[in-house]
Amino acid sequence: MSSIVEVRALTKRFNELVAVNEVSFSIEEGEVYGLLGPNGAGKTTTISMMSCLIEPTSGAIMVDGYDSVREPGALKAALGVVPQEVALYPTLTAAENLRFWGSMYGLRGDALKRAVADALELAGLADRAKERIEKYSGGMKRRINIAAGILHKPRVLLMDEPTVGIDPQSRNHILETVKDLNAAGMTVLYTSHYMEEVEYLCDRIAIMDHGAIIAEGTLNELRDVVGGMDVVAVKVAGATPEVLERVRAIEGVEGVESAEDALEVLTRSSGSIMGRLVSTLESEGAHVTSVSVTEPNLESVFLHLTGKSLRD
Amino acid sequence: MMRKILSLAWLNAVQLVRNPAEVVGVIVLPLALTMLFGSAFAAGQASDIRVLFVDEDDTTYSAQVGELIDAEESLRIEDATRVDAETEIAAGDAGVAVLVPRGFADALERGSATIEVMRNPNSQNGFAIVSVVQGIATRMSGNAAAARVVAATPALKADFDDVYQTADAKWSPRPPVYAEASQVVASEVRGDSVIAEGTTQSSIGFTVWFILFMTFGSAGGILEEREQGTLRRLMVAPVSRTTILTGKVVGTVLAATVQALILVLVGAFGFGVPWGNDPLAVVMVLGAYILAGTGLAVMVSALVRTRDQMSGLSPLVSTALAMVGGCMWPLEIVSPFMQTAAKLTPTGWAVMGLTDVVFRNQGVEAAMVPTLVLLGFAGVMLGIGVKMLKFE
Amino acid sequence: MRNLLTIAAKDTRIMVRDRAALLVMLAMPLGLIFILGSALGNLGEGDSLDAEVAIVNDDTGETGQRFVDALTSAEEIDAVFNIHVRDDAGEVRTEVERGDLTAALVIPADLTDRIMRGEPAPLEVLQDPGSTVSAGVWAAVVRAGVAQASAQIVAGHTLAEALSTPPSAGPPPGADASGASAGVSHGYPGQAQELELDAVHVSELEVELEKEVSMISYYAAAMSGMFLLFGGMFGAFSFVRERREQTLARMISTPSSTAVIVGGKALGVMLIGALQFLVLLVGTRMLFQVDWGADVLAVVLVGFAEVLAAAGLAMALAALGKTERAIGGIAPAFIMLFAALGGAMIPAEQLPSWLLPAQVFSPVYWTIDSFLQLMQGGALVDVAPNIGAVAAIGIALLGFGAWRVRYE
Repeated sequence: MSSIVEVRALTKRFNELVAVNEVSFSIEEGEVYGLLGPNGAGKTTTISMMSCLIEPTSGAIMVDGYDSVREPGALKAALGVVPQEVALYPTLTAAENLRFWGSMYGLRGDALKRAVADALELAGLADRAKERIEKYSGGMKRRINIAAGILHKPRVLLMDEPTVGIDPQSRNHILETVKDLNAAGMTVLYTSHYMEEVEYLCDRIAIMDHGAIIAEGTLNELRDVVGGMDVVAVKVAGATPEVLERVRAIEGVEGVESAEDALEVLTRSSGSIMGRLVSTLESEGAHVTSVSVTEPNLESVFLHLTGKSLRD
Repeated sequence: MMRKILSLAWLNAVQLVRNPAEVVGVIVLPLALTMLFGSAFAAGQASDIRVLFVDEDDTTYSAQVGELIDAEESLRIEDATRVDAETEIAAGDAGVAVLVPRGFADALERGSATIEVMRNPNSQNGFAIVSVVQGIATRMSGNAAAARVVAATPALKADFDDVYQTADAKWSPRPPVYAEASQVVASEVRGDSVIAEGTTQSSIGFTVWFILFMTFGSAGGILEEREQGTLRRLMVAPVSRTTILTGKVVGTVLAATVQALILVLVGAFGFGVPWGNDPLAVVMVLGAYILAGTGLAVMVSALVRTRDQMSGLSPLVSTALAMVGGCMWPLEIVSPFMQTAAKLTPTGWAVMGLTDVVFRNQGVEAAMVPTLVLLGFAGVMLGIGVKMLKFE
Repeated sequence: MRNLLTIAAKDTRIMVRDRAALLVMLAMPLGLIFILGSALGNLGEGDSLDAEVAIVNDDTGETGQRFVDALTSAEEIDAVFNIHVRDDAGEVRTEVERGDLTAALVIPADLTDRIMRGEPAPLEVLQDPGSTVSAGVWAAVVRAGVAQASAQIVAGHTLAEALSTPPSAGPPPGADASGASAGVSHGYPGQAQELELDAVHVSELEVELEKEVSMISYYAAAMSGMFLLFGGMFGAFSFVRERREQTLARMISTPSSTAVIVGGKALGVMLIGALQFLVLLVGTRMLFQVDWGADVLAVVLVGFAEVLAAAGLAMALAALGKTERAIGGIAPAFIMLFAALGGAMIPAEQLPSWLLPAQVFSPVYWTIDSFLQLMQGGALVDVAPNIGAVAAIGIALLGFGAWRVRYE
């Protein structure tokens, strides 16, 4: 079986700091591969090495058969990159931006024209192509930002947190775009710290923390990591840190995650601990308004593996 | 590769045109300044230097002082009172005032008349104007000397005024000995004027000066790209650093070339600024200078951290270089130390080269050395800039 | 008021922390003043020139040689020019053409002959078009000599005619003059019969300039007037940055009125400007011995008004430009135009006269004018109208800025 992306024992050190530590994974053609992890987990460094922006300290990257150190030119041509921040020229129109980026990927003439038209269509902004980017809303900029990365029909598309800080509508549009591109045969590497996105999009997922991959597999495989566990979600007011300690101490509780007025408790025996959970909370002066049991998700997996939340 | 370089150059051009403020800064402002100083040249007479004339004696003799100043090419008198003259000179609004005090005619007859001159010490034309007045005084002295001798001889029965007029008539149309000054230019001889023609100097100076604004603005674009993330994006595209840098440099050079063309052509055909008879030599010097200016701008871009700092620094750096290089006043008047300092700047070599080519009409041969020196500047500074420029 | 001061203090702190900007604002003006001062130290005095000139005397008679002697022996001329006496006029012409010689005087072969015959005789002055100033001075020197010669000849001829015309001509009282009748006709200079040509004397008055302003002081005034305005550009940068980074929007969302915010930003620019002015004052005084005049209060008030103008300019620029790049384009254009109009680059007298009315709009003009007056011994009363004008321009700019500026 031939993988279109092969990453082997990839390591990057910045002086003392090990940003990426012995990371290995491979992506099959036509997959959407998710790289999930909190901020600072090493996702962006990995992406930067894959797009030949920085050289790895050790290890190897192959994309479409090209080595990132020996054949960066050919590798870059096979790769589309959508940067985390909008990287476009504000005073140029959308069409001008796309034409420019297309020509940077070696497109010209009719091919360039067609690529720009297709990309605008994909972004759903064909009717506003002649407006300057600076006049666009944040979400529209993001869409053009993606469009600029797929002009040359790359075999592999790297998307680095493309939905950070945008409105839900634009976010949905972007997620659908990724689905469409993938349906058309494009291989996508998608990084995010939003587990819902990764769950929704990705065929296979790697979870990164502290520069290393701590789990990898399909969504179902990863759920098996927390196999048979349930998540008990409790709406509660007045849960102090001491209360949390007490909850953690309850037998059968595998992990506790707290938000402002809610608790998520990971357990193998939701039925048996529910009563103790509620009574422990109430006895400590907290007020429980609702309790529910849900299926585990990637959040739970991460919680289980690291004991902390993805969100911050 | 070539197409990518051209795309990058085109990008620079579009960004420039989309930024009206920058266009104003690099094209409109220098044109306005050239027009200000160039209009004087095109209009000819309008460029005459104003000399304040205060006639307190109100006689034929005092009037003659004024007439003779007015007759001088490039000088024009304007009647004033002593008080006006004092204030205007003090304020620097006028450079020189000539005053003929009451009793001038009587004193002339006695052989002890005085013409008073006031000048602002900062006036560049003061020296020339005072020497014109000195010449007039000599002429009147000669006439009066003869008239006094004759009038003092009763036997001749001659009147001072008559003899003075007879003597004075001998000065026109030509005095017995006169100097004909002309500028020696290779294939032509230009007219004579007491006052230096400032316009061509200004036009060359402004062009050389403002080309730096353009190169700084364009080359600074690479900092902007770094800040807005497009540089990173360029680097993940299959484009080498060399191509990116070449594209930026070509873009800057093209923009500065268009700017220089506009400034030179509009100056030449719009405002009548003479740019010499040898376009090739002008192109050589200006072309090499544009490269040097681009090298300088790339070097400064590599030394500063942000576009902000670049925007703040560039007017100051270019103004300083313009001053040292002789864009604002002719190098011949500055101290020897500063003349040497000018040879360490690209602006200095551009001005020296253009002076040879435009003023002296020396042609391609004279343009060689400045062109080569400027190319040397371009190579060294571009090298340093490229080596030090950080892409991340 | 409290908020206003807080904003101003924050802006000042940010500015002072930006080493590069600080360097640009404080060290660069001092550097430029030094350049100007040393470049133009003795401009206008003439003795900074050290020009190479040549004299070629082809005259077959003796008048030409007298010219050469007169020009080479005068000390004042020697101080300015290195005079070379040469033979080959063609060669000299080529050297002037190339700029190797600044200027030359060519005395024609028939000079003495022509004078004897009573025909006008031309001397040729060759000038290098690339050195118009020193070549012009040389022409003026030659003209002075020529005027002397002409005056002698005219006087001589007139006397000779007068003495020979009347039938009953007795000897005139001035015996030396009567005897000159023959000699004067071909006589200049240095002859025994030479007339004293001192009936009209030119005297230079130095009335109103009680204290002469040196070049470096002039440019200290000019550059201060110009560079204080650059503070406005940096102020506008700060405004634009805050607008982009949304901190401005955040300020608006606090209970501070826009007037307080604009006022605070303006005050910040002024504080930096005041610091800059202080450095300029002390720096020029210590390093270049610039005397800013006795009326310190007036100097400070002029500086204050110009700093206010800079603050106004900052707001006007922030209203006109959306990005740093845009402001980086407009600001130098405005400041340079103000400075050019105000005489910071080229003496105001060289500006075309139709342009002079436009000077009233340039704060630089009023500022330079005030500083110069104070340097020359003026007092606060003399410059009060100027201070008013600068402050008015500043307030007008500030008003425009506050009216047009967008906060997000």
